[in-house]
Amino acid sequence: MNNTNLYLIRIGEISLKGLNRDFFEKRLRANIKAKLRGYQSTIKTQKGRLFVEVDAQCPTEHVEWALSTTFGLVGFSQCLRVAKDEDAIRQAAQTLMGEEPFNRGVGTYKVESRRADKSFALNSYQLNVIIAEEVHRIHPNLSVDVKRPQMTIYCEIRDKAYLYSSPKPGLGGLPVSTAGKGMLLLSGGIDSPVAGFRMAQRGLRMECIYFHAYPYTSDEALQKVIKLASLISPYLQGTRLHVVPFTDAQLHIKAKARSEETTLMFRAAMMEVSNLLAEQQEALCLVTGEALSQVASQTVEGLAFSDSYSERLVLRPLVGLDKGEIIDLARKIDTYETSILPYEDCCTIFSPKHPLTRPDKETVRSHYDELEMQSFIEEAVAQTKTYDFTASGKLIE
Amino acid sequence: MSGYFDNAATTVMSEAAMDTYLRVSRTYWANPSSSHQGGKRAAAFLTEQRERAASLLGVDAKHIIFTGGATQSNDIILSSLLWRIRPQHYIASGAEHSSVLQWQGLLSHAGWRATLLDAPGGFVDPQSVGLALEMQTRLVSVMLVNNTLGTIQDVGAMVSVVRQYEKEQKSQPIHVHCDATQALGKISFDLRDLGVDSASFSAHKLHGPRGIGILYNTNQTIQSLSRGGGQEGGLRAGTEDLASIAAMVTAMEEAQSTVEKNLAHVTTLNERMRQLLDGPTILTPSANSSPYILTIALPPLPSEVAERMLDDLGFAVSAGSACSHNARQKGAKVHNALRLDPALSQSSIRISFSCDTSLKACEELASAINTLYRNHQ
Repeated sequence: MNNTNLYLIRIGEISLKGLNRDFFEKRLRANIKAKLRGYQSTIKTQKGRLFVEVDAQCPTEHVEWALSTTFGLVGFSQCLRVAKDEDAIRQAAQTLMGEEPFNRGVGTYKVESRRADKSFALNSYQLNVIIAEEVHRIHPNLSVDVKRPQMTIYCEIRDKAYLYSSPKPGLGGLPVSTAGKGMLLLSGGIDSPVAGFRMAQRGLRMECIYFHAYPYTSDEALQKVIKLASLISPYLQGTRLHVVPFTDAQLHIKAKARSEETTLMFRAAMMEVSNLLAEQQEALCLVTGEALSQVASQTVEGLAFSDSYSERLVLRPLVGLDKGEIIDLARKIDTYETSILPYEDCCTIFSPKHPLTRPDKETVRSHYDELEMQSFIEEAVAQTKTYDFTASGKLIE
Repeated sequence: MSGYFDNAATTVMSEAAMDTYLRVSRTYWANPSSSHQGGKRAAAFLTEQRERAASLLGVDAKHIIFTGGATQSNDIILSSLLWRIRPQHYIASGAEHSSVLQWQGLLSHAGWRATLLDAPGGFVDPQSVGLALEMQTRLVSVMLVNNTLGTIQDVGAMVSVVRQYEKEQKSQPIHVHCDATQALGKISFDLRDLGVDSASFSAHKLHGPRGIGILYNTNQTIQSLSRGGGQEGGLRAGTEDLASIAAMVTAMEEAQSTVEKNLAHVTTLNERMRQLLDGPTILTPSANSSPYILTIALPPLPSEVAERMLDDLGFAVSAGSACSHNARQKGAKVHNALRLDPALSQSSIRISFSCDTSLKACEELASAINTLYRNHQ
């Protein structure tokens, strides 16, 4: 690479890991690389830091998007790398003064220097002083405030000297794929994309499952779910969407089940299908956007009933959240506007007027057995169509 | 397309209208406002078209304004209220097209009060107009044929109520506007007999081109918000689209010459459908309705699902007024004004015929609907 830009990345929770830290760092490096695909980049690790060097052709916005949608880093900043000597450090400080936000020449600042290499001749205090001298020379109107500065210049002495300012926040969490793989039940509503985001934050890699009941639900509803999968795909480091044709199963349940139990029966069947898909895709758990008591089927009894149809652990990261909190998160990850598009993900003819909210597990399980769903479930899995999305959210045609 | 049953949304352009469009585009392409020979010829042609349109409607040519369609015609009348110094009061039926109803937001922001009258079963009771009138009322807007149900309203009786009020109360003149979009070329009516001050029409509902329509207006005080070169009496500025205007007049002439024959044909279709439908609820009253529209309900199937299923079978119907973007929410207000049972309203579909619709296609549609209905009971 000829011209490159250097980014310093602060890693959070990973740095607390013991012997398997290398495993987490390696995954984080791979995840960042995947986001920067198409541009040359190298990533090196130094205690508590990653250094990403990217081809200067890659737009700053793209690098910032890549780093701000990748779990496992708490902050990042474009940085300067110079030789470990006083003149070079002074020169780097001058360069920083010509850039945002210092180039405005007003405000308060402080300098924060650290030596990872304690053999360096100047100590932290001395480093702070020489950098401040340069600041004062170029922008005499900037004043020092060590308690609440508006701007901070960081200087780190390692193999080289690194200078940077204005770090941007990362998402925190753990790198995706460090916690295995799960299947996310994506409905088209507000909650499930947020649930996916939350579990990705804890390092879970996920593929998505959508139950499509055409013509009772529309092609627009499917397009909306495809859009949602593409929106969360960067957080998930790429994903797949399995679209399960569910019309026959739903019609069978509607015809045969007790009216008040239809929703519970749909859930049980969805759990069975999801487990089969999880087995195919070698996923260890299911993830849903359910929150306790949000709707009739999300009572403790209702959730326990549907859990009983999953051989795999069912993770419900939103179980204790209020709708308002979920909406705030959906806005933050930019899925809200898509989720509220008016395309129903379940036709009203399948919604009972008076759903059973406190099912007796064993009784309702025996009712489910009577439906003899096996062939419908196998057919639904066999007819499932899969869409693939890249880590940048692009649908692979 | 033999399975096309959405003619109240739009119709296919007729061959004759298309021929006229091409011919006029090639012949009278100069700007009618230009003073050269080409311009003068275009201006003369425009005058001739205006006279033909006026004679078809049985009115004076000076009252014919060519617009971009009925939505724009309605716009001109409703927005003209904004020119009045003092905001006052207007009356409209709650079952009007959204191009009338949607003005309520801006008008109420400007201080205008609106009384939206219910139209139970598709009919505004003329007496309810009388009860809503007040000294401050400046406009009454009611449609001739309701686009949701196809009911034909007694607009003449409503005008009489208004005129009587004006006379007895010695009120200022009250403008009566009528959206007659679903009536033109389909049912016979006489604008002078109705006694309305203005009326709106669209060409594309009667096999003419899109983007062209008429505002019939006798009220000199109406002003438009649109500014420009002063065309169309200053109400619709912009260079006149002679090709569309002439194609519309051709479509109107075709419709006029076949109106009785087509009415008889479509009445046969409508009656056959009513006869064959077994199970669905018929929402369009059999008396005093245009045979061109038949609205039915297939509970518990939601409108959009029924529409989709029929579409997959090759039948195009409407799950509400196709003109409103989010039909479900906006449609709900109109359905409330029509006092439709919510369960029926949510599962209603509109079947609309044209002179081109065949009896065979109707029988196939009725059979498809019956099956759909039976499968969801």
